[in-house]
Amino acid sequence: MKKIENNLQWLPIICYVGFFMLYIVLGVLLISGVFVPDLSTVTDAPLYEPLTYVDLLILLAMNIPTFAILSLAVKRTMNKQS
Amino acid sequence: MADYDPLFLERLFAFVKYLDSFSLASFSEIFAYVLVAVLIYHGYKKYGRNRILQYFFGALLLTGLEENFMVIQGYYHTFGAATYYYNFHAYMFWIVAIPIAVPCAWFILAYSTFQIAKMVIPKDSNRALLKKLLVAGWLGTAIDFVIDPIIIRELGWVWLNDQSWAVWFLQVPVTNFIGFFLLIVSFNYYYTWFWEKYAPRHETWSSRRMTTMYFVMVLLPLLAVIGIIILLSILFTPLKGIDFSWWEWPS
Repeated sequence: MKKIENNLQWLPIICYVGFFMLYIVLGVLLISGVFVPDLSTVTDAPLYEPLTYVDLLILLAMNIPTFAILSLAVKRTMNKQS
Repeated sequence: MADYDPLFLERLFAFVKYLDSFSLASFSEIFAYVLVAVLIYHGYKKYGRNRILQYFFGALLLTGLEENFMVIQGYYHTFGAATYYYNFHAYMFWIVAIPIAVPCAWFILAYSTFQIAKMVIPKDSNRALLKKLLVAGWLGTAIDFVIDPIIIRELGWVWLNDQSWAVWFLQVPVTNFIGFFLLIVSFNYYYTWFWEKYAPRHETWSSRRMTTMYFVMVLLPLLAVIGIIILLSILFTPLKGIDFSWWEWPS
């Protein structure tokens, strides 16, 4: 608990990145075929073109500014801590 | 074309829609609840119990009302077309037409992105606040470039508009991304304005009166966001039917 309190400032970054990673993992599970959506749960489910790893990379590339902002936040937090 | 769940109205107020929603896939929903707990803990330590609970419940109220409005008005084609709905089989717990995980996810995004923005822009001024809001808005919206294409293929939620009814980006209505941005910016601005500008002008008010006013006035950003989305839907009419993506339109 004390360790968490000493590193409180990291929690928003950890949670944001964790939330992001959750969907990247879900995306990988979908692309690899581990997770197969049950079409019977939706009335006339739309049949989207399957996602590929290249698609996922392109979507992540759209988030380059996001990664830059996160890097800056990490750097400023580390500077503040030291 | 995809349509609402056949028991959409019958199960509208059910806390649990279908029992098959309790599955391994529920892990993502539980993970979201864990992240909410972690961020509430952060807010409790940094700002105190009252402030973080006001933020959390304010975010839940704003986004819960907004999402429910968008889903239910789409069911009735209030503005001429269906919108979207959340798959009743994909989430465990519900508040009317939306999973509880959805306003929780909004809280995660609104709070964490604004905290990150404060780390990047530590100054305190009106200009700095605007920059923080824009950074938070970007962080929250950009994550949806990844989330939406994945979740619509996993049938977590279903977009019901016909292609000709909207302008699309990544096969998601553009107004969705604008709504993401507006919700994060408007709520963070509202929260900051209320407790830093409005509340100090009414120091004589009791805390109960102040808190009540806070939750009543959260309707202001809600109305603003819904109004802007409706206006943009009308303004985008010449562009309707265009999909800015590289995928074939779903059959």
